[in-house]
Amino acid sequence: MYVTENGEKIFVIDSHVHVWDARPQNRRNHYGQTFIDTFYGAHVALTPANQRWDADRFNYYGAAGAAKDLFEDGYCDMAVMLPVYLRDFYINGFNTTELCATLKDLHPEKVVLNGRCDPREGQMGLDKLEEDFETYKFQGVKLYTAEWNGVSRGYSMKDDFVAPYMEKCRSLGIKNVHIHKGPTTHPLDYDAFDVRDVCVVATNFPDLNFVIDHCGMPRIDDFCFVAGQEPNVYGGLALIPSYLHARPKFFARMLSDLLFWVGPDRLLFGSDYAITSPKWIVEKFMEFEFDDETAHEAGTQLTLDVKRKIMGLNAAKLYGIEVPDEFQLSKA
Amino acid sequence: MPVSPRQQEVLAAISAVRDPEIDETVAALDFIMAVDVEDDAVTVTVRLPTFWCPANFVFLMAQDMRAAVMALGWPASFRMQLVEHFAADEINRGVNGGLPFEEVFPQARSGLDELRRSFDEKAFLMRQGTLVRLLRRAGLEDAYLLGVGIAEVGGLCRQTGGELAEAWQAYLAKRQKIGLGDGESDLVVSDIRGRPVDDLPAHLREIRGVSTNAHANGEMCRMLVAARREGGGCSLVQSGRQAP
Repeated sequence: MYVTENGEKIFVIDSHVHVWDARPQNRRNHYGQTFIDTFYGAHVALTPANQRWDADRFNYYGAAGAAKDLFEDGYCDMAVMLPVYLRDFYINGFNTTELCATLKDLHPEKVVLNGRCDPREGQMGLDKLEEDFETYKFQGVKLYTAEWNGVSRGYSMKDDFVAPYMEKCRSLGIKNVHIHKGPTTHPLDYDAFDVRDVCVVATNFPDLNFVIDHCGMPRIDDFCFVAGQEPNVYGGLALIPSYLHARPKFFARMLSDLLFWVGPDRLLFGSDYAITSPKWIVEKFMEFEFDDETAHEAGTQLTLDVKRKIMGLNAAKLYGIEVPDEFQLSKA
Repeated sequence: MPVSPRQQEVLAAISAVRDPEIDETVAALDFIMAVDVEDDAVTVTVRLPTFWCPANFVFLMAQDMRAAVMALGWPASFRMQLVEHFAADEINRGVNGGLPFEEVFPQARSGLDELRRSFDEKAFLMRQGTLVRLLRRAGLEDAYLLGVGIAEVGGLCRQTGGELAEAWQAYLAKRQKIGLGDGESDLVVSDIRGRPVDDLPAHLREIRGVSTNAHANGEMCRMLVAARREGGGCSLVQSGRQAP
């Protein structure tokens, strides 16, 4: 919960959280090091100097560390976990469902645990998804289309082997599909991070919600186009509010484009923890206002109600979380 | 470290090469680590903000650097030395051997020509956006701008000078690059195929989207470069930045 100067209470759901293990003993190869190096570069680049971590803590902070950063210091009422395996780089996986579950064990009522699947794994992957679902009963899954898997360097949501996984989600009652579409990390994966492939699944599975993590960044314009025509596509903001400290103007510019094209009801706050931590992001976001020109471009000022939606109410709807009256939109 | 005239020549030539996605120079983005010249053999050392920067973009820049250096006339050989990158070996081998991207990365789904074209088109739109904003600020009406030809606007910009003249030159260069016509009455404000636009505010909003992406990416690049100097990012090579 964040409380404004005027005593208004904001319900905060961090919709993009990881618990990872990038310690040297878990790195399978050179890529394991360079992957976390790049994350750490982003951490240093984006985080205010007095709140940066050292590289050791960044490698592994554990569930207790995450609980403190999110729920004690970071204003979060709840956190949505998004597993990313990267087994080609990390022996036991980078940010597995099991690792994410350790945070849920500490705070079962605050943590929304999602699963993951990789449609390239065929029947074996479908069985595993079902097995994980039996164990964790999650409402959402994460797909990382640029993940390496053996000789494959990524896949598209348009690939034929994806639909059976969407069917499986539908039959199990998994309604939220998170798709990572962020900054490009591999050439051959320019396609794999291309956000336009989401149109096909969003149209074919109108009863599922598709949360595009990082809003396709840096191809926000493509994302806006997709979200503009598909009502079941949502923007996972993670990484965009992380610009608030180092590049506030560009944060404003990205958010105003998103508000204009997608609107305030389908954007979800995320800190991208632990690349960046919610404490300073929530504080800066709640204090942030558009200048007149930006508000004009966005079609709206960043009103308290717009902030309430982005910070928590939108995610609460997706995950069926009951939010007490005191956090609801201002009565007109 | 002393800098020879030939090193300076090489540095000036490659500094003008642009990151194709962001449409900014590699000098502004601080990608060049060192330039070495031994007689007529040139070696350029390049480091990018992360180990994972997309290899197709890097390949484009490396090809452009090679072309810029060889165009100087005197160099007999060019060696790209990309460091701290996941595809450094392939890119160095490909660019130094003059191989096409598709041969170096047979798994790639598409070649570089299409990518280059799409970046040029985006750059054309962004430069058009900059030009139109300046023209609007100079008092020109939307209705006039939608119908005016390049000869008239070119003359006006050159006459006014300053940032308007610069914006015009930048616009014209990309316009030629993507193969749009140079007839006197060919429209200044158009889509990437040269077709007219009905609604200038909507057109500018689309361009704004393209430009938001490029800027967000460019800022991320610059922040990562800065972070690396502060000890974040790639930890593989501890050696500091060499002055060219």
